[in-house]
Amino acid sequence: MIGELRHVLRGILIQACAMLAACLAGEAVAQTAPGVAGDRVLFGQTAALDGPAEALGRGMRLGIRAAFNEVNAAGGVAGRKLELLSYDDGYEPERAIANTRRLIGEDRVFALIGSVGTPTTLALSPVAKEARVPVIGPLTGATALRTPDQDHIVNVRAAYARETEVWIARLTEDLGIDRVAILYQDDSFGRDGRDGVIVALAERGLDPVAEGAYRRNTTAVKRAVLAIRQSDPQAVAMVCAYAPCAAFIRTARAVGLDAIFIVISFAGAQALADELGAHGQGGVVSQVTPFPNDPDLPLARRYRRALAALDPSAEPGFLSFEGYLAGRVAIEGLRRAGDNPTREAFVNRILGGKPVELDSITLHFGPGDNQGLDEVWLSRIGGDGHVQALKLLSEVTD
Amino acid sequence: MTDGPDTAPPRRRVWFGIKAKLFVAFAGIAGLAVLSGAVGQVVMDRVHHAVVHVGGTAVPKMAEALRIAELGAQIGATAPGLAASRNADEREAVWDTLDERKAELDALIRRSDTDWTPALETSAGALYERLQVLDRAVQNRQKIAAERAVASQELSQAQIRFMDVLEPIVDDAVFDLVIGSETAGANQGVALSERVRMRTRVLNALQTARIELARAAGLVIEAASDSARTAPATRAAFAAHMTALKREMQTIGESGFKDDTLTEAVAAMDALGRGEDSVFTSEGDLHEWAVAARDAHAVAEAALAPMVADTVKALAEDASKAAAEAADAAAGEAETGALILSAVLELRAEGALVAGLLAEGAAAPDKVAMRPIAERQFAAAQRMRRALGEAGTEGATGMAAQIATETLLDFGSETDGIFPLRTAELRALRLEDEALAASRGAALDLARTTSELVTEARAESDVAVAQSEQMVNMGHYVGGILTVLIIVIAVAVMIYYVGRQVVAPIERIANSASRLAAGDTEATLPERGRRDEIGHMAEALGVFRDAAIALQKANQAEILDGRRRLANAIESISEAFSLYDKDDVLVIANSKYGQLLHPGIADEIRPGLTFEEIIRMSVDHGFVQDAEGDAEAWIAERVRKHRNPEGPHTHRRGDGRWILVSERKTDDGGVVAVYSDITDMKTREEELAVKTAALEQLSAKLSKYLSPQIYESIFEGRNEVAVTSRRKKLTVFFSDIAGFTETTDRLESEELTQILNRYLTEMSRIALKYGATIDKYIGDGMMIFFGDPDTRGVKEDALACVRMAVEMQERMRVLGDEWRREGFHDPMKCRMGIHTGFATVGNFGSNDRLDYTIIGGAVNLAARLEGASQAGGITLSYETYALVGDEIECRPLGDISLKGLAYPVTAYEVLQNQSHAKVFEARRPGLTLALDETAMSAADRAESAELLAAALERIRAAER
Repeated sequence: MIGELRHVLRGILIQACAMLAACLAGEAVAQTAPGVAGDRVLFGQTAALDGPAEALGRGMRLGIRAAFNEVNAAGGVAGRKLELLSYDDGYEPERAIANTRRLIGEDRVFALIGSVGTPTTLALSPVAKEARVPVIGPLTGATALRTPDQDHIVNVRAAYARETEVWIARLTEDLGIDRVAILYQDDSFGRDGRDGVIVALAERGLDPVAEGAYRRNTTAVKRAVLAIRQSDPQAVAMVCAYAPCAAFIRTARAVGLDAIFIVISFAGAQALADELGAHGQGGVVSQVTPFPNDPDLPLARRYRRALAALDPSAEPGFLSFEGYLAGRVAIEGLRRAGDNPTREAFVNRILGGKPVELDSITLHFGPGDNQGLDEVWLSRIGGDGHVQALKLLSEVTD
Repeated sequence: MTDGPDTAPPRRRVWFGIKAKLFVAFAGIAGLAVLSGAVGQVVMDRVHHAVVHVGGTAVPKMAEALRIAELGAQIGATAPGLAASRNADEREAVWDTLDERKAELDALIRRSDTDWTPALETSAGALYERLQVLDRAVQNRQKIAAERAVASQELSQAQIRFMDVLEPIVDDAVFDLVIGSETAGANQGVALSERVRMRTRVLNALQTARIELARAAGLVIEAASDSARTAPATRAAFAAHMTALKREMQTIGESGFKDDTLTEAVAAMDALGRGEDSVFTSEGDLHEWAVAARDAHAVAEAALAPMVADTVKALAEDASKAAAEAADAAAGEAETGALILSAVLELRAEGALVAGLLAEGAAAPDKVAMRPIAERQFAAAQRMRRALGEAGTEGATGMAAQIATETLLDFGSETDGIFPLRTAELRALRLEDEALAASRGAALDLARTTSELVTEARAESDVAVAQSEQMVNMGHYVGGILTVLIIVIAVAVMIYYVGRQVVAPIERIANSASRLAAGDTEATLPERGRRDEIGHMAEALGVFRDAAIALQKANQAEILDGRRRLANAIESISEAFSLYDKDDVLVIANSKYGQLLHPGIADEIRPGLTFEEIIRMSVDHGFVQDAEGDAEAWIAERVRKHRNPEGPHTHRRGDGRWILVSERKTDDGGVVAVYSDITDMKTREEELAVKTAALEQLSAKLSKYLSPQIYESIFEGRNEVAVTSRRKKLTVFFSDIAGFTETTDRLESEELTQILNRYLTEMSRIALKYGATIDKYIGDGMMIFFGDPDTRGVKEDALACVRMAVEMQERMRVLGDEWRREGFHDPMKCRMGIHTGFATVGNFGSNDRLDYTIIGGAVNLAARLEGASQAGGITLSYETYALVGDEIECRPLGDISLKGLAYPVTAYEVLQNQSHAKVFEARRPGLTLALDETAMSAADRAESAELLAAALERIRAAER
């Protein structure tokens, strides 16, 4: 009887302990894929929408919206409309990080798309990777974003190194030039391009004759002009944004530096042409997308239709075309991810699936290869301020 | 009723009988049981009290005390969480949890209501107050920290803005100076202008180096104090600054400046942020890193400052020299340009330093460390203002530079800048630490109080448990004694009282009663003298015995009388009678039984013998004729029949007599048997059987002379064999063989008999098959009718008749073939006539001789139709045709006149299918042909064909 009584008391104590343990234990709660609602999928963008690089962000945004608008008009993907939420980062990495944190944490976007710039994208990439958020079609050719461990990034365009290789190849082969100077933006973007040029030159047994750098988000390029002028280069390889590029070309021409100015795609050919006006003639810009005004390219035709549907007053351009491509890749990824898209399925089925066919253009991805297009095209700024296709560099001197 | 005689013995009043004694015994036992139960109840009651006390008071009290302790511990543990909360939201979440627990704790304490309650309330209240103080401190600290964080962020933005604004100014200043000196010395001063350019570059490099160094140092210091130091972005920024610094160092080195301390300082700075062991990866006290960075920065600054001064001086000299060589007017301008450039570069470098120092101040670990930083910042700010004044604030760019500079310097304000903010934050942190310590003390106090409460509750429950244990032990003891006592007393009562006084006398009476029941009326009756219920019982039994004795005598007389009467009755039966019981033993038999079945040994038959013994005796004496040969088998069979009677049976006795045995089972399984002498009856039966056999033989012979129907009809008694007749509608049939008379002339008598008998046999068989009544044979003719004695209806009778006729004709054709093969040259053919009409049917004749036949016009008409028929044909009257025409195909012959009939008769001929006739026959004057090709062999056929061809040839020749 006493034993029984003690047993009862012990039972009460054990129960009290169990209750205590239950209070302390947490509860795991399952979550649905963020950004995916019943009727919509939300994408986020951080890009320069204001300041010296604003044309880049606005162009990308326009193209992405054209692609989204086009698919939404056709009923969306799996019944969901695609929406784009954009924040301005002024081409500053710190703000890009803040924007990315806000897009992921507060706005709960499904994926990031169309970020602009190398330092900005390099800064936000670890944040996105930690949160397992895909990054689609950033406007940068940075090599660091194309390594096999960057498996959350889907690049549409070719690397800067590829562009610089084409520059040097064309300069040396088409024109027999061996005196090349470099102007670069003094940050990760500029250094990436500069390294590409130096490697390409070294392969041909050459060194850059001079280098000039300028501070990001300024147009303080005059010292660079002075530094480069001294070496009297035949060509200046320019890894810069369009505003400092334009300032450089203008100043260089003013102090009598006459060379071929070959500019990285990131500058934005049309933005550069607009900035330079009459001074722009003869400037060469490499491109990583086909020509948006190509009358024979089905993809370009469709892009122009989509753009006109969104904004009849918008002019077709490389930037919005690249944005449109990024939007189309995102749409294809969503389609492949099925009715209940997850971020993993979204990225893995683009990178690991069959090639992405966008009308006439095919994007090839694969394990360790997160870059869809490898081609580089050349264009020049005409006297009328328009951008024209260019086969050989020898045409520039005509 | 009241007057009726009371036969029951007068009921005696019993004062202390069996009932009372048993009552006393059981009441004693029950009383003890109740006593035992009461003791058990008392014990259980005490245990119940103890358990209720432990379960209802001590345990909940303990549980409550535990819960209070737990909640107190939880509330105490919340304090560090409160202090660690990073923002207002987190702090409020912690505070909400705290509030909930506080409410629960208060409720528990209020409810506990013990001596400890006031102490607990005091402790809890104190803890809560301390926590509130802590909360306010945390709130304050967080507010200041948030402000400081915003200020730091703004400082960073302002610095970027400052650099962005100064960059084009520097750019323009350099460009203008170089281009200006170039233009000035265009003619002769190429070397000089080159020097200016070179010095400009060096100056730019020196000032940029200062900036990069300041930035790198700032990042290290920031990383050493900031939890975000491991962020890759910070690390990447440090690497970028160091890369830029090294590039500038290269330019400086190329210009001829060589300073080992500077190089070492740069290397030291680089080591702080790179490699395996850096400020970004190191654990533990990071303050050392900040000190090292500050030292390296100071050394480098000290080395750079004279270099900047030298370069500016040289640049100014070169610039003025270049200007002087060109033209006096331009000299001042160039000199001014160099000074402005120098000032702008100075402004930029000092700006970077100020920003770095401000960032350092914002992360200062204590107030002591802040003072030197503030002093250095103040000095740098003074230098910035001076440089700004030298650079000039005219123009848009100048204005922008001034605004950016002032914005940056505002952060160093002594009233609302970074430093006072950090100071306030540090003070708030100290307050917070104090509040945290205080709340920890209060929590400990509460824990102490609650632990005492728990100890008390535990002691109380232990006391209650011990008490209940004591009670239970006592209960065990008392309960055990009582149980033993009850058992002993109960056994004693059972043995000494109930056993002797109640059970034993009853057993004796029961013995007597059993003997009485077995018929022993002499048995003694004990206990008759007792005065209790047992005495009454014995008395009643005595009365019963006396009555039984009287009844027994009366019954015996009655049984003897009945037996005698029964024996007389059995004896007077004329038949023999016996009764065996179910064991087959003879119970009773009359004297006739012995005389009839066992003459001579009748005396030996007596009740007690078994049936088998009796019949064996009988067999042994040869009384049973049937048993001769195999006596044992007969005995076994007889016993079987006897045991299972199946009805009367007979057997023959040795003296020739027949005995009819009727045996029957009785309800009790015995067998009663009656034996009758049926010898006379048997003799008569045998005589009768002999006569019957003779009669049967006779009638079989007679039947052949009669139509089977008539025979059966008569022998089955349906028709009386008497001169009677009746009218019925019949179908009458006549046939005869055409030209029979001629045939008989040609044939021998034996052959004729054979053919005729064959013909009549075949026809009769067909007639009987169709149910015809064959009236008579008239030589070669047959008279047949349908409709008596059996009829199937007039139409059916007529149809049967016509079908019979058709089959007869078919049979005749077959017979004709046979006969032809046997050599009778000319086959016989039948004529047949059928008519349906009323005729008188019956027995005609005298009383001595009767003939069953039909008479009437219809008979005559049928005979006449037969006469008018063709050989092989069947002629019907219209009356018959009307009945069969829808089933038999006929051909009308028109009205024909018949002999003996005054009116013409409409006649029909049955169309017979001749196709199967095998024989092709023709008879013409001079030709007789009978062809049966199926009977020929192939050679015969060829020979016959030749013969016929020759015959045809001869006929043709005769025609010609």
